[in-house]
Amino acid sequence: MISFEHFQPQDGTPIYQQIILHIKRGIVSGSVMAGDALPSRRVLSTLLGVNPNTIQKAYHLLEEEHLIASHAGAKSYIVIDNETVARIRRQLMETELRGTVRALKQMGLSKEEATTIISSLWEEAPSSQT
Amino acid sequence: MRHTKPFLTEETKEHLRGYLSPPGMSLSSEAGLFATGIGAAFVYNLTYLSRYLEAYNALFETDTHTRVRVLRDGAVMPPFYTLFDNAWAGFLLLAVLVFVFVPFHYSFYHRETKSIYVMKRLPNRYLLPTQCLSFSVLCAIISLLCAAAVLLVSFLIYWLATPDACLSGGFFSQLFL
Amino acid sequence: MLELKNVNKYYGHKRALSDITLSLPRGEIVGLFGENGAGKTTLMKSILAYHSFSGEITLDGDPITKNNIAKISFATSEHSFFSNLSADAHKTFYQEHFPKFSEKRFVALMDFFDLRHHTPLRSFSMGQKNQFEVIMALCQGADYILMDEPFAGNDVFNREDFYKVLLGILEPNETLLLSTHLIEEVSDIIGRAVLLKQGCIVGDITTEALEESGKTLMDYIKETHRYRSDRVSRALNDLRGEDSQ
Repeated sequence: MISFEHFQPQDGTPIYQQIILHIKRGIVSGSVMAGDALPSRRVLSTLLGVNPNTIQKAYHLLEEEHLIASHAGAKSYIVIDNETVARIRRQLMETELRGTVRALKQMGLSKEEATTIISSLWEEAPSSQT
Repeated sequence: MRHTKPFLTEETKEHLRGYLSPPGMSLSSEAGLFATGIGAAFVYNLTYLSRYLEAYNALFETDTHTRVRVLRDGAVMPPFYTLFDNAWAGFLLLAVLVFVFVPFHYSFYHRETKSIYVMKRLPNRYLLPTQCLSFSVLCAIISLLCAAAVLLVSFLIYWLATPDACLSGGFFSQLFL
Repeated sequence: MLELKNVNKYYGHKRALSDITLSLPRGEIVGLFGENGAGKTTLMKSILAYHSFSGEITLDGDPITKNNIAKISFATSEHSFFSNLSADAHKTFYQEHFPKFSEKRFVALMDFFDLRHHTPLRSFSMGQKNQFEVIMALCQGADYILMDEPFAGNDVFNREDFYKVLLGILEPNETLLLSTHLIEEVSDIIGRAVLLKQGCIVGDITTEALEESGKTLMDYIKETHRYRSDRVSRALNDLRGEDSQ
């Protein structure tokens, strides 16, 4: 079952969005795989200390994005394939980068300046362990 | 060894107590007060006996010659009701006084905690008034029964101990107050 | 559905509840907020028919009488248990009077809070008394559970436990109306917030709507109150402006 052990509700964004993000990050990192079960709404609401409606909303939106499948009375399961994982990865990356790009533009950088900086930083950064 | 089932099991007692007083309230002090009241009423009732004995002795005189106690001529015992008078007043008063327990029971639900909140929202609308009233009613009934019993016993004493010659009228006229 | 329509309550000349209209459907966890004296307790006591009021309060369409009063339970900081009785004696009493009392839930909650079954409630600590009060309200078998500041006197860890227990134990068809001062603590567990001020409902919003507006519950409450206090400060400013002329 998908773990919410390290999930800490933060102030600022709605909790249902944080839950969705937690799942998506899990999908991208590989810790959440196809067939994994989600905790039931009641269990998760108790665990996180949030209203069941919040959980319901998160699960509903995940279902709308075709990331989970729910059946009445039974647990919800992750239903992803490689294509979906790639899509989610792009989605998360774009969300992260969108913020950075906006910040860089606000600072007055041009596209060329930004690309140059990013290239050199890329060389500097240690390679990620796969 | 065979154990015979006691007439009043702990369970039955608890069940009865559940009707007589608020949950958790001990009736021992109130029962003690009532017992004292009954005792006092019995003691007061003895005034009848003293009046009776006085009247009884007044029926006789000692013959100066024979030194024997004999019935006076034309001696008549006063009617029962004059002798009994208010000898049972203690019991009647007690039957009224026991209702002072009612506000005491009601206040129990407001002491320490507000258990009145539970009592007021029970589907059984009768439990609250029952627990407030029934002990007083029970005591009042016992008082009245005691009053009736002392009346009966007092009358029997009058009827049986008084010499027939001194009794005026019939059975029922004696009894009418 | 628990419905209040135009409910007014006067204590002498003082208006404690002013034209209250409120609908509580099944399954909601509703926070009732307001200052002391705003009317939170009076509102709950009206629902429980502890006193008279004008207007209408219905439970699933019917007025609240002895026939359906068992569907509503109540936990209060004043404590409504019998202090001479043990926990188990309370269970017996409740079972006798509330046919839907859940022994299963009772045992589980007593166990969770580690409360003693056979000692008089009087011997419990304040925190334990609060816990027991809540236990009985949850085990009665009610559809609508009203709690009036049930956590007064419990430390924060106790309260965290409470919230988790509430979330874990409430069925989807059970409704909880919870009045408390601890706004931030309960803002995650509630699905709806109702604000009371001087006997009037000044706010009624779902947490979903709150999220959509980007405000926190605290923001919303401050806003609705600031509106009122703005009027006061503006009026005072006008007065001072006049004086200085």
